[in-house]
Amino acid sequence: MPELILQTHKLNKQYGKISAVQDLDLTIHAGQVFGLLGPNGSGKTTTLGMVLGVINATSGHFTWYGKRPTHKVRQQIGAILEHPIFFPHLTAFQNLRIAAQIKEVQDKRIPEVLDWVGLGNRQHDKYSGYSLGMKQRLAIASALLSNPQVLILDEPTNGLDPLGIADIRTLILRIAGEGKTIILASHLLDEVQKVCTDFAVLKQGKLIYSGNVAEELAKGQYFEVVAENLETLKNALEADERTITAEITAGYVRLKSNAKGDEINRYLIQQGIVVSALSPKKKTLENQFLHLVSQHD
Amino acid sequence: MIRLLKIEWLKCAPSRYFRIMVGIWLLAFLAIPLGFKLLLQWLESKGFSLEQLPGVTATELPIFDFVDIWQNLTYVYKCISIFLVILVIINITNELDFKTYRQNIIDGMSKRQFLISKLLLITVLATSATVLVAILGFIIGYIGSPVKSWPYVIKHINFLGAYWLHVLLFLSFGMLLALLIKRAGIVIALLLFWMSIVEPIGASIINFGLKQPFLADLLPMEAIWNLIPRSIEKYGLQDVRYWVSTQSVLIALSYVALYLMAIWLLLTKRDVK
Repeated sequence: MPELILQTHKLNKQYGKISAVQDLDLTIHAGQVFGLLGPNGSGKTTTLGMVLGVINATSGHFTWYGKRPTHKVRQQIGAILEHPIFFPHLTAFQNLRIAAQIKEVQDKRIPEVLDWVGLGNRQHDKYSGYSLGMKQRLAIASALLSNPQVLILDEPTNGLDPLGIADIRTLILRIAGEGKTIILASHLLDEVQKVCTDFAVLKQGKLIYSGNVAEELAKGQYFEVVAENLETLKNALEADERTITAEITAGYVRLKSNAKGDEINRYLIQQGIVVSALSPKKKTLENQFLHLVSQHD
Repeated sequence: MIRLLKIEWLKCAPSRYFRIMVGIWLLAFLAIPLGFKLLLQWLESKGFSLEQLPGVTATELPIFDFVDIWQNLTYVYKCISIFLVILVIINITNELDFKTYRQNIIDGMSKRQFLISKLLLITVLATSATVLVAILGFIIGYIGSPVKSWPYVIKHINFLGAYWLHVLLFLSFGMLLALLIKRAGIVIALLLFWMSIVEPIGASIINFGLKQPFLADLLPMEAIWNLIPRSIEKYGLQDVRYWVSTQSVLIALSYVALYLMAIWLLLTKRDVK
């Protein structure tokens, strides 16, 4: 088993009568790109706030690297909660000097991370003059100062234009490519599908699902098969040992099978059935997610 | 400790509010002795004299001569402490407004370290102001005083300590208000309103209406001002306090402890938004 990064045990946060987070158990291992999914207000930011030491948990506890959380541990975590946060009247470089002191990192690391996110030539400009995309990149640079094993990003592409979104995704994938663990909170399923290896779904503060992205997507794969006689087609498909389910729906047979498209085609020809259409369909994470969320209503 | 001080310095030094407030304070610091001298000369030219001290002209009053200088100088400089308080209020409300306090915690500062970095800020401000006033006191005193023997020079020098405590107390009061109210403009307006209207009225009612001078001394601004009483009436041969009273020091120390405790609770018990 890879190294344990973050583990929460029955984490709770109450705001008066409202439970923002309820009995949350999460386990995140090294090397995962972990998507924390959920509609707005489902407790993602509250959860991250608790594990980052800014929100006091009502009950429950959590560990980082299997140890009790302290500020020393936080120095070794790169995190951005909600928005990039810097002093607007200071330059990027001046802001990162403060962060470097807090993280006990030498100043020579600053130009390295700034170049890495592509802000090297704008480092002496005031932060207030930055575009949102640049602010987001600066925040990532700051999070990378201590060369942390874990990076926490909360809605990192929120409010960005398509180019900015592509930029940030490329950065995230580059960081993940270096073997770092990433925890990504998002309500954009497409984003999680594109970059995450694992995910958990929160709804009204409760964990309703957690799993592996690739497995989940594979689970959702099916074929739409059409032939002259759907009944014989269905019977023939059911006779195939690789078939999981075959059922007739609106004008086609919906087939879940362990076989690939060409194998299915070959098999049906052998059975004397000619198909007029055979198209693989992928259920997106979005379908899965909506399904999950509606189940828990 | 040095690291925390450096963090605070990196936040303050390039900031405009910091430079402006320190600049105003320094300007006032230098302008006061010059202005005072001009004022006394002007009084003299108008033929000012004290009934009780016939024949003594204004410039001959030993206001800035040794012994008297420490009380008078620190009394005068008490009036410009407000600029340092405004500096601290903006510093704290900025941290809350920009959410940099929260980011500092996320980045790996403990709440305790954050508190210490702010205490270092107010301690350094109070100490620097005191050192500057001390240097100025020695310079003016040695230039003008007729008597320059050491025991005489350092008599009543404990007013410098009272001045340090005054600045520290005032700054921690400002810091507490900033943490409670969170909006710089409102904090400053409220503080000025409290200082110049609410408390003077309240103090007179308690002093003269209720005849409870001790209770009046417990008011927050009174605690800040009473450390260094006005002594100018002494030249009218009135009886005034010309020493640092133990009671005022004890009240001030209690307030410092109270404010720091409240600041600590506000910083740690609330979720950091």
